[in-house]
Amino acid sequence: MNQWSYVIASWVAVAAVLIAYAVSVVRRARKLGK
Amino acid sequence: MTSSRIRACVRILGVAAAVCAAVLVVLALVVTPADAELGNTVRIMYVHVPSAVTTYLAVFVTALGSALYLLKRSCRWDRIAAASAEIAAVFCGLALITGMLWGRPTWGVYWVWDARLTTFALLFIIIIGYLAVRRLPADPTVRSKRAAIIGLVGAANIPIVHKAVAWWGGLHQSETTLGTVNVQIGGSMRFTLLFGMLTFVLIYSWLLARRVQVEELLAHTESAGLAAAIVERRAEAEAEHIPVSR
Repeated sequence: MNQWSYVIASWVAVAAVLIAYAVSVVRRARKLGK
Repeated sequence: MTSSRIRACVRILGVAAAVCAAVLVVLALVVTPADAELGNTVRIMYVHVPSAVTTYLAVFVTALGSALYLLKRSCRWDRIAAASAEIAAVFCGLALITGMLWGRPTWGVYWVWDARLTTFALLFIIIIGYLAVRRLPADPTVRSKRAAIIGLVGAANIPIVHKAVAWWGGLHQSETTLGTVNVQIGGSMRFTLLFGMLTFVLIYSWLLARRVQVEELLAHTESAGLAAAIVERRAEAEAEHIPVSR
């Protein structure tokens, strides 16, 4: 793999984890707030 | 501050974090040049270092909340500590993953048991331990007290992680930006790294505000459920003509 593959993999991992976690927190808040 | 004002502030914080994240992507992947020695892998640093710094911050807030809970017995501080610990686990995991993805093209291996990596992995285990203790079936006060002690142990590990390279050496490089002796990067690369830290701190702050809200709603639901169960049990006892102490 070239260097860009590792760079893209890192950024995609960070974006995916942060977005998934943020969505889960917002969903939990909405579910409990009902 | 009224609840509607707090909600507006949290929303502004979220928008600011999202805008900064978009700017960071452009700065890190397009604007900044490749490093003379590391090549394009330096672009991993713009998320790896901020993830690690945010982990430190989140663990510090957990320890602060834990200490204040032990001193004041205030549930609010316990909830802040719990919320921050969960976010710390997310950022700590990200720092480990991005570090491994940087290590492979740079050192030739994903993982090596060097001082910084080992102490950081230990920090991750302590955070997971904290979260596990919070889920153990126990009296809420006892559970919070046990978790608070682990929260303080996690914070005690931070100076060890930070100084691990200076004390024991290893493959991991020493401080790059915030070091006082040998600042190794400058210009747009340094700016992007610092901007990344600011972005991650904004993301952490927004997540913390929302996660504390979840903890408060959970506590409210638990107490409402307990009150409903007591009322139900009393009604059952009265129906069976069993004397109920009030």
